[in-house]
Amino acid sequence: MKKINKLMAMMAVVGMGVGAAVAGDANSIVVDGSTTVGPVAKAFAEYYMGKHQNVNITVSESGSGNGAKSLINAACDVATMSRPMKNSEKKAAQEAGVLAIENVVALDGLAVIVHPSNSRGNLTIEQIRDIYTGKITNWKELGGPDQKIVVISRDTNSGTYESFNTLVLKDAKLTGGAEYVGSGGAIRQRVLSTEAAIGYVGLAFTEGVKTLQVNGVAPTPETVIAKTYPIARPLFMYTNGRPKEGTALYDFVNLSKTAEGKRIIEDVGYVPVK
Amino acid sequence: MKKVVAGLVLMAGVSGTCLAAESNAPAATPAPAPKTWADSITLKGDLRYRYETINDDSKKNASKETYTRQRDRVRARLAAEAKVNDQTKAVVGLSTGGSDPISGNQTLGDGAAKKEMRLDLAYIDFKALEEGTSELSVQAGKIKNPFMTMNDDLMFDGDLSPEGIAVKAQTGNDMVTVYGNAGYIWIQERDSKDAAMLLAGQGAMKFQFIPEVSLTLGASYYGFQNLEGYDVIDWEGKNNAYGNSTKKGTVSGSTTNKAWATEFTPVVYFASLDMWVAGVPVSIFGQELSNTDADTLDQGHMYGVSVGKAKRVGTFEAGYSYTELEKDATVGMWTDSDRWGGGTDGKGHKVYAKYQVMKNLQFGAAYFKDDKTISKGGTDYDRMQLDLVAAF
Repeated sequence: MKKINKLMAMMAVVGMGVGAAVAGDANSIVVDGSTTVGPVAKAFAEYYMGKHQNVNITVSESGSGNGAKSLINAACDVATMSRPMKNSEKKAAQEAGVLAIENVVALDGLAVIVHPSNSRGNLTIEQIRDIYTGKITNWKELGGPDQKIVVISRDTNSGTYESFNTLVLKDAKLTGGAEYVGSGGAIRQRVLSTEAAIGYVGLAFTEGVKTLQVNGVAPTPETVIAKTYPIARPLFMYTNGRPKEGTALYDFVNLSKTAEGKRIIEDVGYVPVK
Repeated sequence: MKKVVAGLVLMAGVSGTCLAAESNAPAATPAPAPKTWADSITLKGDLRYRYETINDDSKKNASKETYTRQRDRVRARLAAEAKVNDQTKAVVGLSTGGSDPISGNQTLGDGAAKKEMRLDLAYIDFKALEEGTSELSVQAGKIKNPFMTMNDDLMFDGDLSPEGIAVKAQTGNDMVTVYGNAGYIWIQERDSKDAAMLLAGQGAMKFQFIPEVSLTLGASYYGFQNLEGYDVIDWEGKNNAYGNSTKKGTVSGSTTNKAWATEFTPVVYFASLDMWVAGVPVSIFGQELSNTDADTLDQGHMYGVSVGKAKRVGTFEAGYSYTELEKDATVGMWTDSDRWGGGTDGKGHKVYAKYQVMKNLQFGAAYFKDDKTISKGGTDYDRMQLDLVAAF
């Protein structure tokens, strides 16, 4: 029994030595995740830090999947995601003692983009799927020039890829000839420099490239809001628990609901939530 | 959990890093480096060092002194998870331990002899469906427990890795999730007789009222086949029925083996109310069990509460549970091995606490205040455990 008492006393000392739970820095916000939501997060950070000199906000873009992992591992305060959390991520969060709270910050249309010289104006979802699964490999099969289609895709850890997979591919396997790139900006630049390329990006990454209509509907803020554009999606910021009102984290996550936040979202190229 | 190094190289290539990455992206991205076998393999494991002391009144010595045992033990586990294709994983895991199906502990102090390590997991996990909130998967081989459990469980020890095929499904929306699990589990393959099997089904519904509050309600049916009248399965070779009623079994030389006196078809109802209170997860849970094949001593009860989750550095978890398992409530050989020394025919209290000392390093303590052999009046059984767990 003496041995047990000694051990219990040791436990108490170890517990006291280690101290209380580490709290996050109230004046520092770490954001990680989607490259699609990244421009919104960066613009929000710039705006907020301009108004609050004592607050430091860092934004990383490692992909939606890695954003979820960062939140679960307490490596960030806000996970930006261009898709909702998966069941497996929710389960991992629960097991890690993380209460993942979902905040929809903006709406986006997945724009299918081609080189400006491409004469094609519209594709159906089935045609896009056929291109990305390798059933259609040449633009001439779609009435265009005899050019092999260069298929550009986001990496599979990307939320944009997940959205494209859900809305277009329907879990069909991507063609082995597809090139994978790490951001919407990289897709845009690859398409811009390659005549026969096709890619898909968020609305914020369409500058200089040609956007195609999908099923006869152009990807615009109006068609996204009206839900007539067939491959639209919400964009998210996840936090661990509900941020306390009055904190920098609360202000940052809820900026999308303010007039200034909506203007920033529009400036970036996305659609504010009404 | 760590990716093999080669995997990290590829990840770095496809993952952007920070702020200015978007606008400075390269005009053309080179084709990805060829993948190696290491890219698809994840290694994970843990190592637990445990001190425990046991006071067992059922084993008083000639001087009527309570049997006391103090020992240090280790448990090490290492598993490799290989991505076979987009829908399929293969998992192979090793654990310290011998033939005991419900413990990987190895006791220190036998002349520094090398410890045994055996196959703990070996299964294929096929994800047939993953669309939105709907999932359907099949596991085949030596698998993890496929059934929903709580912090404590009336049926199975946490270290049990059943053998056979399991199907797991779930679907729903933000408010309600429906779960369905089924198992085709081998217990004992017999040459000329009917094999002992477990055919089980489980259904549950989780109501997510708000993100902070959910209620899970469910029921499980465990149909053990061909146990009654057959010799008990005793990994210790001591003719031990782990609390269950027995009758005469086969005779082997001068030994008359014990045979199970009843069949087992336990039905378990369970509920769990999970909440977040002041930023801390709180769970209140319970299970009620009834073995529909036994005539008497066929009930089991378990109620408990847990507060916190020891995962992040500096976080804690603590909990309490009360458990009672009558003699023939369920098959004793697979129940929790810590409370009252394992098996059925016991009742008691458990309190525990865990603290995440450092990243991947956890300290834990548990105390069991139990009565064992309650069908004969019961004797005191107390057990205390102190754990240091390193996960990787």
